Amino acid sequence: MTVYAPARNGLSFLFVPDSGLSQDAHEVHRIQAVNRDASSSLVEILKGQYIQYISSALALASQDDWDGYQALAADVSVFSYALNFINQLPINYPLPEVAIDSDGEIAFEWDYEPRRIFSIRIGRDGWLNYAGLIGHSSFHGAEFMRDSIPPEILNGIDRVANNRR
Amino acid sequence: MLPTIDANIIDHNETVSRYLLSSSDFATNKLRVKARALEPSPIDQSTSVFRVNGLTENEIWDMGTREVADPRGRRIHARADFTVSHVLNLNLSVIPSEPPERHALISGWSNEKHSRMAKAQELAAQASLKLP
Repeated sequence: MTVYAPARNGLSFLFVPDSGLSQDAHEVHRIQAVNRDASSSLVEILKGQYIQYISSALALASQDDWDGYQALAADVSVFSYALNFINQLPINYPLPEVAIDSDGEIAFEWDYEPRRIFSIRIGRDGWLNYAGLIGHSSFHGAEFMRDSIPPEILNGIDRVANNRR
Repeated sequence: MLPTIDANIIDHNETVSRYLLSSSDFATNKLRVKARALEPSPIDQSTSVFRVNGLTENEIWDMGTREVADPRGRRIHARADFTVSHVLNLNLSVIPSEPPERHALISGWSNEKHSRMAKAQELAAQASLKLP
């Protein structure tokens, strides 16, 4: 069961030094700054929408056997962990699809192709199980999320988003 | 009456079907199965499938409706087909589990969740999506 959240493309920004710029370069810099502010606002709006996506997903999976295959009801205690994850996701990383796993955990997926996919599951205790498949290379593990997203998770997203084997 | 098969012996070349009860278990635009649709049930740690060799397409869909969808008050949106050898290559097993007729379970999943996720991703990559 999925509440689909369209994955946004990565937004990246080019930062240039202020000193020694021509008039044209200053104009380019000004436009970049405007775009950066606009993009930041857009990302904040998109992240805000995830509260709705996650809430909807939890509501639709609120009872046992919601998937017809004995799934456990979604666990609302993972909600805050999921929101924290989205808030901690760097601005230049694509946002995932949102789903509920059959054991009630929240699933975030970056799904590009059958052999270019990265998935994490957010557990009740803050543990993140992850698995990725790029070509015939598979990688997986579990990390605990403290103040920020573990580098192994960010690396996994980056690998599938950029098709880096 | 479905063509009979050996209830105790499963051939490596047999095809098994996982009936998908949710439209989010697959991506129609990409014509492929989502990995989490193949992960085991948290109750019995196995994935329910049906052996479909020797059946026509209509018989396969009818069996899914009769044995899976109707008892649950659901409808089948699609199915994922893959061979037994795909499962065995992941160090999982396919065990006959009748009744109902032709039912089987994919078992042997790891206790580690991330390992189950990885195997389901690989299985989904090899599965073919069938739409009614």
